[in-house]
Amino acid sequence: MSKISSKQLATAFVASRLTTEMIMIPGELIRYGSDRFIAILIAKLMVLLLYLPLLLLTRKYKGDNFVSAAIRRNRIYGIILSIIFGVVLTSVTVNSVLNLQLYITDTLLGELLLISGVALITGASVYGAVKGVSAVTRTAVFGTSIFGFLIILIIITMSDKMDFSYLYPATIEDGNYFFRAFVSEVSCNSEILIFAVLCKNIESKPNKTVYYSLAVIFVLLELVNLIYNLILGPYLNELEYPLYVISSLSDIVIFQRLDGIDAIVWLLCGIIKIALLFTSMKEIYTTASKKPKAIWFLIIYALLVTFICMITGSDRRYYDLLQTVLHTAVPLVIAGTVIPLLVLFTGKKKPQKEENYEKD
Amino acid sequence: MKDRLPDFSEQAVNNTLKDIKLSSSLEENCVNIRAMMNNSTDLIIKYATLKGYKIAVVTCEGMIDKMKLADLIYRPLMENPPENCSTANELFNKVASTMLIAEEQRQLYTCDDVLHAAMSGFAVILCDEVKYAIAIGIQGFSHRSIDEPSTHINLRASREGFIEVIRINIAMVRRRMKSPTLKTELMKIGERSNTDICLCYLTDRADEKIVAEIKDKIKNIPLNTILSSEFLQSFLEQSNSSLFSQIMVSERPDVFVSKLYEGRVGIIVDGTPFALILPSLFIENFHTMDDYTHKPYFSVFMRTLRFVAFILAVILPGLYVALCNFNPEMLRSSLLLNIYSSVQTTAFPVFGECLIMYSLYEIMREAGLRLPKSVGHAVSIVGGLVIGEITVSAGLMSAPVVLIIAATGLCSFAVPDLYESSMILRLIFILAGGIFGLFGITVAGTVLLFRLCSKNAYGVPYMAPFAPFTLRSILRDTFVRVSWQSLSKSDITVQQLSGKAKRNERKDK
Amino acid sequence: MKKISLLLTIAITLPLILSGCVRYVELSDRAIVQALGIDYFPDTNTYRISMQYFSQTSEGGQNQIDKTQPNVLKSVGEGDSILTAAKNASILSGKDLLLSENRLIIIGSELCNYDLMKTLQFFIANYHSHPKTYVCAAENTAEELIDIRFKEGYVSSQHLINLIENASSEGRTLADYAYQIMGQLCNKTGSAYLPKLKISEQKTDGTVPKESGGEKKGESSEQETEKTIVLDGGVIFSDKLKSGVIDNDSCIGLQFLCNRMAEYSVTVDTENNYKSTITFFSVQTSITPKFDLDGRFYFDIRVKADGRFDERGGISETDTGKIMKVKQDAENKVKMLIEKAIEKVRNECKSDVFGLEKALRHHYPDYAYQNRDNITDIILSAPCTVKVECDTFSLGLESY
Repeated sequence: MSKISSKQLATAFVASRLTTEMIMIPGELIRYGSDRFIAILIAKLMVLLLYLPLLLLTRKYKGDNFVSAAIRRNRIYGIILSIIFGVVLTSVTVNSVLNLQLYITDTLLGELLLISGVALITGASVYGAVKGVSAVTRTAVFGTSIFGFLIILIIITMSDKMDFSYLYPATIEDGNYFFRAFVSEVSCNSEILIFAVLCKNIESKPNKTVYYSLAVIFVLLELVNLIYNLILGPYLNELEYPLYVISSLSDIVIFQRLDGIDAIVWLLCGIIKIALLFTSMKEIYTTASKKPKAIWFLIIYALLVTFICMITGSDRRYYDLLQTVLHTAVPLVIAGTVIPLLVLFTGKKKPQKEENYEKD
Repeated sequence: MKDRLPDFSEQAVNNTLKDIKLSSSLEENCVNIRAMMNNSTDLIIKYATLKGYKIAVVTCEGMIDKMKLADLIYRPLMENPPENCSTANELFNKVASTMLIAEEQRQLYTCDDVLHAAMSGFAVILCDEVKYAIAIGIQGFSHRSIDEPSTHINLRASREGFIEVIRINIAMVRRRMKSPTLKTELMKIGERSNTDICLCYLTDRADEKIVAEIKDKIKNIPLNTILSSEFLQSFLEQSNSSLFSQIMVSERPDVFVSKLYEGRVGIIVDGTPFALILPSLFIENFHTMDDYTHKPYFSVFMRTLRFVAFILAVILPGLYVALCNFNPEMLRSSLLLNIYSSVQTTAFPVFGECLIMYSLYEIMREAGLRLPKSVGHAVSIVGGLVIGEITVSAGLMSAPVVLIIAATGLCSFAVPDLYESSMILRLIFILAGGIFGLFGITVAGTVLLFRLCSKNAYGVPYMAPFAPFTLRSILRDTFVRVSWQSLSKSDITVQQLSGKAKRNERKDK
Repeated sequence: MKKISLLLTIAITLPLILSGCVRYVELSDRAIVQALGIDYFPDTNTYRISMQYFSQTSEGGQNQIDKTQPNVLKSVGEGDSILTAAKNASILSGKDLLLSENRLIIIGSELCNYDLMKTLQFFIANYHSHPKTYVCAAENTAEELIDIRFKEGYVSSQHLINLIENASSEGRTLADYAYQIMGQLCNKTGSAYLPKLKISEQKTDGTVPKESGGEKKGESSEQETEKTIVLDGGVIFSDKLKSGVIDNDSCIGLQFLCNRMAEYSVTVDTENNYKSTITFFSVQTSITPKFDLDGRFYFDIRVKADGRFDERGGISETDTGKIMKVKQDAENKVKMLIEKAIEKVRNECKSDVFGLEKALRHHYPDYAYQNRDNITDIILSAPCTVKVECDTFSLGLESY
């Protein structure tokens, strides 16, 4: 089993969460004003609470995830929990693939066929999952670095277009919007699901992943939101992909706009996120089935995801339904908090001399 | 011809390799040796009589220095033969222990060893009634003198390059690293060629596991003949299908030694001036020996430039196709209008133009590479004038495409170690950009990143120290090259680049 | 592993082959739009889009653009919606429209009476198009402005862009990009300002930009009347609709009020028919909502600037009294311009282009929040006091 450091996974989480911010949160939930600053802050505290069972679980069952702890108690019980978790994970994966595909058609390739987009995204992500969790998390380092570079470029090139008068002292102005933004912020943390599975791959102190990633994500989200407000002002309410529009206003010497580069960055980070989701599914399979090789499973699972994406993506109603369900944060709470909480009390610890069957 | 040389068959040769021990009969030994060599004409057996005992000197034509043979062997034996010897054994013992003055002297007990020694430039003396032979190193085969390396040319570093003779190469390494911890291990590989290879490493810096793994891999190489170090390369790689090699090839002893100091293992192969160094990381492709002789800021600039050149060499044509066909809005206004004007009259679409020009460029390069210099000029004229100028003026190709392919070619030469990879990747990116635009390029780039990040070269991540990220290593000797003062403060071996092992503070400042 | 690699390769390449790749338009088949005008005809309920797109003039040689030529062609399309009009224009030009290089959108006078926001959204929402596009209003139809071509820079529209940018830097008009105007329109008051362009006839000796093509080409006379385009005041929007037109002086005042005046020169009469010029620079305008002693709400507008005598008009350096008088006159002149702008823009056009609402929200967020439903009425009815201070420290040269 390949081991990664807690910081490495935290970096991957940053890339994953920022992707969600840029391409998956509906534009209507990103509005001008102070509401969202507060929504992000409170949502992060809430997410920390949601992480709590997992943090306790990693403390109690060191070097294990919820699947192995549950299976050790009772195999059928563990498999049932894995299936429930897998369904949520699959729906998040499908949603991510579709959102990424939609982002590409909105920003890079208007004529891209659904099948081509979905197949390429899934193919690249599965390749990442086949290469292993360390490959994906290492790639995330590049994704996050490019994002950092892009943000710096945007700040430099757009500094003269930032209007600080757009900021004004206020708290929550629209309670209804604030609540929706808060729920959306909470629901967009599929990293909890990934952490629930991949915590066993972390070399030491998995809780650091949560603390680091939440802190960095919080700072970056507030920074990005600040940039949105300063540059776009009330126009922010009309936009689906605000950072994309801001990038299109940025002029560097070689390119007269950075929106293409912005799209590339989010595409890269999006594939990393989906690869992490696939890797998590692979880990669940290998842990539950006790088979170290999961390539065939991954291929079949990728075909299944493609198939579901084709069905969901071809009909707007299914897509909206999926979005609505996931944005209620209920699936996330069930899979990311309730199941680990259940396992925390019902799981079984690893015997001292149990041999590790998995090999890298 | 076939009738005269029936023993060249596979079976016959295998039989000769059987371990035949030397007997007490000189005649029998000589017959056996001749038979094993299939009466080869380059095997010379000179018979003589020494104090009444028959002796034979076995040599291989062209492998020995005839002056040394006369001075070290014939003259002492004939002019001052050992006195007071009652038996052949006694006589031969005296010859072996007191008379012959040679740097290398071995005692051999099998015909096989006798043959290998003779073919390695030894003179082997056999004596009647004695069951062993004496091999005396008088190698004198002709070889190239030490010269400036043809590849990896540097401005201010050493002008010496490895040559084809392994022992001279080892001496060059030793001259640069006079440390007792430098260990050289000679091995023979290749069932037929019996090529000498030398494993070099510093015992206090190289990881024992890596050394053992490499030795194991070398022993299991199934090749019969090893003619070049590249023959070994694919067997030592972790993944054969990879575009990027985890093994560095160098013609320079100074590079070789500096890499050994970083805990790597070097392999020198007889018959080739290219030594192998492993494990090698991605970032090392952008390093040259000159980086350490120039000022640090200049080195940083040059390394960054090389990296940019590599990136351009890989993605520029693909990016151009993607931008022209799918996202022209990204180009600057004046640039777009100029490109627009130039593509108005061309015969092919931009994608096709790029593929054609790419193929033409690679064909021209391949054609010019192995031609005699006089003909090479003609290729340059055809390439530069006809392809470059006429195609544009005739309206077959647009000027930007010609410029881009030419610039890409130039960029790929800035990082010669990655030329092959960049060539293949360029084609992949042209296809990806031509079919799916920036989306295709990003997907191809992501897959490439996944692949690069998944590679581990003998336990060291190939993309270290960037992924996994270790800031201290990055700010030491990657794109950044700190001053010698800072470099001397701590030593980092290749294993420590992964960020797992702790680095050693230097004690011997 | 080899089998798996093969399978993965097939999995990736198969959709690629089956989907027949992605449709794309060759660069040579695109019409690179440089400027476009949109008109609306309420009688027939149709839109007309007229555009200048890049076309290299042959005199420039195969790969070179001749900068002495307009290098544009015109295409017009009409339709029931903006989309159909654009498509018809595309059909007429025979090429796919590429809006990325469009740097100017001219809105016809009739269209200003309809929803400007939706029109702009159509043109800047497309990922090819560029939000850094200037938006202007036409005095009559946009098409008649698109008809006029100039020989300046790579393409004809460059002249108009230079015209707007120069006027903006000289303090004559506000020049905003499309996304900035969208930002203004998205405010609660939906207020915005567009510079207005009109056709002017002027006598030329043939060297100034003139109309090219058509029957007039080739007629050479020492002086002839040519059509050109000039800036003429601006159009004010309130609640996303056109609410009035302002003159050039009000535009200057508006620029002061919006705190976007970089430099402005004021000329005042002195004794003996001389004229003095003071240039205002480093202009800072602050709008502060205040309550007076009676508890009435008002806006305190203060303009602070550094001044420079660029033309002394015969006043001696040591004559402090006269210098102070010129300074005061200049301040009064600027004050009058500002008050005129307030009168026109706020009182007549009922628009909040200069951001009174923003000022109120900054200083009294609770008050603004409590009165969020009738905030527009509050800011439009509150009195404004204007104070201009110019710190003139340099006496400059006798003549400029």
